[in-house]
Amino acid sequence: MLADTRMDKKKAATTAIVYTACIVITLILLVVSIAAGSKDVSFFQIVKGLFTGDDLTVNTLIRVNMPRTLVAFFCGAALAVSGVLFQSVTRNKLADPAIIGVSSAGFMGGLIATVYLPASIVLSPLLAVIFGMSVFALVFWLSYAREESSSRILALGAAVNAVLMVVILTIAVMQNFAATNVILSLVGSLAVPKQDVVIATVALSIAGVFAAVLLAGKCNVLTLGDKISSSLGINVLQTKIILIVVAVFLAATAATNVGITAFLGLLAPLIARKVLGGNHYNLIPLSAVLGGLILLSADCFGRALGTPVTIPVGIIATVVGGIVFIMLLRRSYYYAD
Amino acid sequence: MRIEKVAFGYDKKKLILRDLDYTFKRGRITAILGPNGCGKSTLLGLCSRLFNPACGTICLDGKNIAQYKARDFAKYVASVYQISEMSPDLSVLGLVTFGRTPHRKPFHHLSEADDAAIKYSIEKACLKGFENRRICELSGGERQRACLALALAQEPRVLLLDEPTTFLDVYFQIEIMEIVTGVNHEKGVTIVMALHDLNQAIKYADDIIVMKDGQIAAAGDAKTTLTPELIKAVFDVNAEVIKAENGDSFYAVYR
Repeated sequence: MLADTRMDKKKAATTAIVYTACIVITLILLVVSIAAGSKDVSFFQIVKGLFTGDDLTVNTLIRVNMPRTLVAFFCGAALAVSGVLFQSVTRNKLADPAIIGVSSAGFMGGLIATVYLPASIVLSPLLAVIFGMSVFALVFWLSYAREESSSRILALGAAVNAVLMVVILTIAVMQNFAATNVILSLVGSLAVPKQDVVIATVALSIAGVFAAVLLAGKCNVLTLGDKISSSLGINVLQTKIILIVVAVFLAATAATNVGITAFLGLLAPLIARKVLGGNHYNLIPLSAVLGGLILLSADCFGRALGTPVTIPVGIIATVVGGIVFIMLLRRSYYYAD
Repeated sequence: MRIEKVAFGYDKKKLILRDLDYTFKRGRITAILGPNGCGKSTLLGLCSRLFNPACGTICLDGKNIAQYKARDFAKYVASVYQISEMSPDLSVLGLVTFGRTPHRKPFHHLSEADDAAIKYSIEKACLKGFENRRICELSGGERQRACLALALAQEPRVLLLDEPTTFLDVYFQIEIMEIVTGVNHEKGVTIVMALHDLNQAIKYADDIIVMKDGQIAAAGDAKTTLTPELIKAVFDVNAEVIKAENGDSFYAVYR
């Protein structure tokens, strides 16, 4: 009523177009990812096989590649949404779970569980979340002064991240791991995940993203700064802690599967912001889809490019993300944000 | 709003406020004056629950403000600050809509009451025609009016303003003061503001508190409380009353 209705309509149309495009691209990429790495099947053969279910080649491909596809997509979504939440808490668009050390903490937790504790599908993600949480608590506490300090949190996180990487490699060396194994899982090898891992990852990611959407309204208010948020009846510290818990949960879930894929939590929200603006009700779902798409295409690309050796998904995502990150930092001189 | 024996310090060694006792009168405009670092902003921060007092209590309608739920308190008390960092891409309308946050249930559309409050605030803050302007396109004065509109949209009964005019030129300073007094007259909103300008305090406030070193040096009616002696004692400057042609009298200060 109050708003310029013409602008509202245009916005609604853009939103609809963007989401439709996302769904279409996801579906196409789903088919591509099933075929990626094998040269003998055509796109249409897979589409046909998916619908009829009686093409043996396609069925085998689905069985082999589907788990990987699902894990890549949902881990990408989890990382992207984790990035949005960390950006909301720190009020800094450059925050990313890998940059502030949460991803490596989660990875370290997972690694310790695999190395020192009995094998279990619960322990590894649990320890990952606990480690991620403790490390972020440490970083947050170190950087939390009376004033808002959004850049300090990034610097401290980077320092903590560097220390954690050394610890991870030390554990690997002490255990006489073949170095390549650890390095491969650090950059996210995604080598044929087990079924229960797939189910756990998908379920945890969906739960985390759903929780994030429920918190979108509060994220929106937090963009106004701590003082105004508090004046508007938001319990700032409590809200931030809840957001951090969800963000760490998502980042740790992803880290146990795809390792430390840096910059994805930055790249996906960045594109989403450019496309649909900063309203978290749109930002969170769109970032999730974009994050999933980016990681999935990185995985497809890695598989197609590297046959017979697969280039780990994390390497491609990080290289692309890193380039964009550098461009972004250069641009921000002009934005003077 | 009653303040009883309130003390506060940012760290344990040094108290900013000591043994403060005062009652802000309902429906009136109170200006807090005092030199930098005297505790004006800190006092407002305590009243808006940005910090909690180290000892003593602040009561609102007979109830300790610490016992209000955050959301209920936000329906009652709104604050405007000196400078506010806001997302630069937000529109004025979007910003003012956030003022309805304490009144709205999550995932619900704006109610008619919300729309009416937003419309009123935008009109009051002289932002008509600016609804779709983005925050980063606004001048300092317009931005401060947008913050004021945000606070007004909360429909508070108490409005706290922390040096709202500090970074504005004289025209916008007067404009902000007129908006604030207008809201006070129309809706009976209790207003407490920290100010630097003595003459603005005399002209626009009903009551004045003068603070020095974390304590109240003087308090009373706006027209009679300030004297050249008091100004000399608190601010360490000489003051002289000057009559303007329109009948107002002003303090001219010099060293």
